[in-house]
Amino acid sequence: MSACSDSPAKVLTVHAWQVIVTASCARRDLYDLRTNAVIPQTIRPWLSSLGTTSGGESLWITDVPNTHRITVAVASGRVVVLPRMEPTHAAQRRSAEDFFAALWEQLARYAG
Amino acid sequence: MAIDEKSIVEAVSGLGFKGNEEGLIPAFGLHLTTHFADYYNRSSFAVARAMEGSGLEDDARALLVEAGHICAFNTFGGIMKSAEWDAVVAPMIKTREDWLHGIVAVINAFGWGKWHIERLDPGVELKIRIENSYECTGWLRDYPVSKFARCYLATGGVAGLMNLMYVGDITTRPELTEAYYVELFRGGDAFHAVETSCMARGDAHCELKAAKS
Repeated sequence: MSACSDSPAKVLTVHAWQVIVTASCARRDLYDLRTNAVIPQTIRPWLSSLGTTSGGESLWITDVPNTHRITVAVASGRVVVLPRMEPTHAAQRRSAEDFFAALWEQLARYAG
Repeated sequence: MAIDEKSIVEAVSGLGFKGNEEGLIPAFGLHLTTHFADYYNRSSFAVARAMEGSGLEDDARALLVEAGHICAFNTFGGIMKSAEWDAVVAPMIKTREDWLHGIVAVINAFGWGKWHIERLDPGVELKIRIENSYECTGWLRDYPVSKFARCYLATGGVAGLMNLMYVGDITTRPELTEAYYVELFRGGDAFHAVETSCMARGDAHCELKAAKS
């Protein structure tokens, strides 16, 4: 049991966001951002351009091969990144950080 | 009840779950796998059968049900904390009990048999009927009608649902740590489930009841 319990969460700061990072027994962490605002449909094409997408109006999933899967709960403004296990933890974190920084810019662009 | 199971099954089915280049399905904040149900069935049934006649039957059953407790804690708990849950299920939730109806809908979307809540007495008892449980269909194909109930994982799963909901409080999105597991499943307040009907024993369907000891 102990090997498969998530460890207490840490935080990754990206601009003004506090992304909750939950470590796992599996060789990956989970990055969980709550923007607390509806994610605008206007950024969906950008998200889709990052990989293979599925889901409907309220739930978007973008799978970026060899990197991570991005899940967006549109109405609640929650964005979760689940890394692939093959990259190192440092590489997983860098990819997640880069994604959230790009997301920040996309949201800023459409909000402005 | 506000939960629209058909919508949930359609939404989850539409996500196109399939293994990635690592052979895993990252979804609901978890890493799921797709493999033959018989991989699990034959492993668990081999353990159970090897112990039968040794006087350790009850211990074997307890171990296999414990696997179900841990599965429920991490998998069902993880699903109920996930972004997918927020997007698909949470908007339908009107009452605390809807959380249980919602997770049963997700279970059905995954194809682990057809689960149905027969009775829910909040904080007291949960009775689940399962049609075509994969544990039993596997048993009946490979072995004669059994003297014992065989839905080990489902038994642990049903108890786990009640522990997540009424011993702990999954609606507050707690961290699923070992300490929290112990609090939910090892305390005097924990729910335990029994399989009162089982297809493997020749019953028409499987029925599991979780209550406090």
